[in-house]
Amino acid sequence: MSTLRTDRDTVDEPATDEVLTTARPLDVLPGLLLLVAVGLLGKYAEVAWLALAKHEHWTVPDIEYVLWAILIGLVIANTVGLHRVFRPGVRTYQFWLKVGIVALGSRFVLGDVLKLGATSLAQILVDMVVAGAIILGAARLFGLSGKLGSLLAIGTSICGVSAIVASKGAIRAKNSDVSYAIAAILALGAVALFTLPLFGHAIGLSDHEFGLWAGLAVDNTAETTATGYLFSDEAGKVAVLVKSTRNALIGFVVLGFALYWAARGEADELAPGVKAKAAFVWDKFPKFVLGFLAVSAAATAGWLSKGQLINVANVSKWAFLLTFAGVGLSTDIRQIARTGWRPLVVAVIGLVVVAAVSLGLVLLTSRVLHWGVGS
Amino acid sequence: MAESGPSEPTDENTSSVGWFSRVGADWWATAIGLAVTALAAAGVLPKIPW
Repeated sequence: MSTLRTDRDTVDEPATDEVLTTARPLDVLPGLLLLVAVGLLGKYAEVAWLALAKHEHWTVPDIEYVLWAILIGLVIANTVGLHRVFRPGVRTYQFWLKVGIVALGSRFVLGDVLKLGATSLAQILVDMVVAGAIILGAARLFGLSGKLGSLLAIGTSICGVSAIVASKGAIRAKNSDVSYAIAAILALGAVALFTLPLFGHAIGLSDHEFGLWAGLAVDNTAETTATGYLFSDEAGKVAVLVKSTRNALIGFVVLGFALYWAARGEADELAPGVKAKAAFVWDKFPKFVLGFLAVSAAATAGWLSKGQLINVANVSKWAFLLTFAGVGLSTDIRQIARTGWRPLVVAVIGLVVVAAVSLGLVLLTSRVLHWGVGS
Repeated sequence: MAESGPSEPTDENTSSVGWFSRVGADWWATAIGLAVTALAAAGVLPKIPW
């Protein structure tokens, strides 16, 4: 599955979350209302499903609102399709994801954030090196261009589409390579979304372990969040935190690849000096991570009453609900046929490697070394 | 449903869009999250149900 048809992250369009700041409010409104409608349908479908099962005396699994919202969006996008009038608004779903992540800071004590962030940082670094090396090797094996291999490695090891888009200019990648890499990464994000929670339950992972795993293994932040929340609320929280740590490294990874391609004369030279490099890293840094830390600090300092903490947490839930609706509405199953098999095979190898390595790391650190918070 | 695209932005629209755009979505998301938290800290955030 992939998600290009609704213009999600196509390279000639503004980044999905930037649409809110570049389009006029009236252009965004229809799609935004659709996100709200699909989100609400998903939320109340869970309630209705359980009520129906109770009324009919069925024994059924509780299908979470996360899955309902994604499925309803997916059905709409892949049957009647998404009319162009809705597209600008639907593309704002990553913006609401960021708002949700900032508000989610209220559910974390700052000390836990730093502890879990430090723990996951070590896991992320191991994961990045192993996955990056294997993907670059696989890309070479399957005859992909060096830059497409770089984009797939960046997308798989860091944060999917945002990292690929951020690297585009820095390594002077072709639009076709960028589109291929984005399609492959999104296809695998959708696969991970539906398979990882099932696998996590099957092997008996705890909420904390699954959250760590989803945060490490799923490439795109929206899909990471959905994957975590599909398992449980607690797993979703941990997944968002780990993924945010991963996202924070985006500048360093893009800088590394930019320097590599510049040294080969195939990308623009970066300005010399540490200051210029620091400015480059800061430019790519996801600023909402700072908002998340600030809100967590406010909650830790006791500035929020219990009732207001619940209010802020509910803001986060509503924002994520729009995100889940947007993930479904932006997923085009038919796009996979147009992606081409070679980048997809390389990305599949990447997903399997990242999932296996990160699961091994999670089990090693939580069950053998007993690291982690609240595990 | 009409298929017509959005009309051309006026100069006024373009400059306001430009200002919004320069700030960037990351910072806007942060600002909204912080504003909600500030309202909560001041005890004036209305009850938000889930």
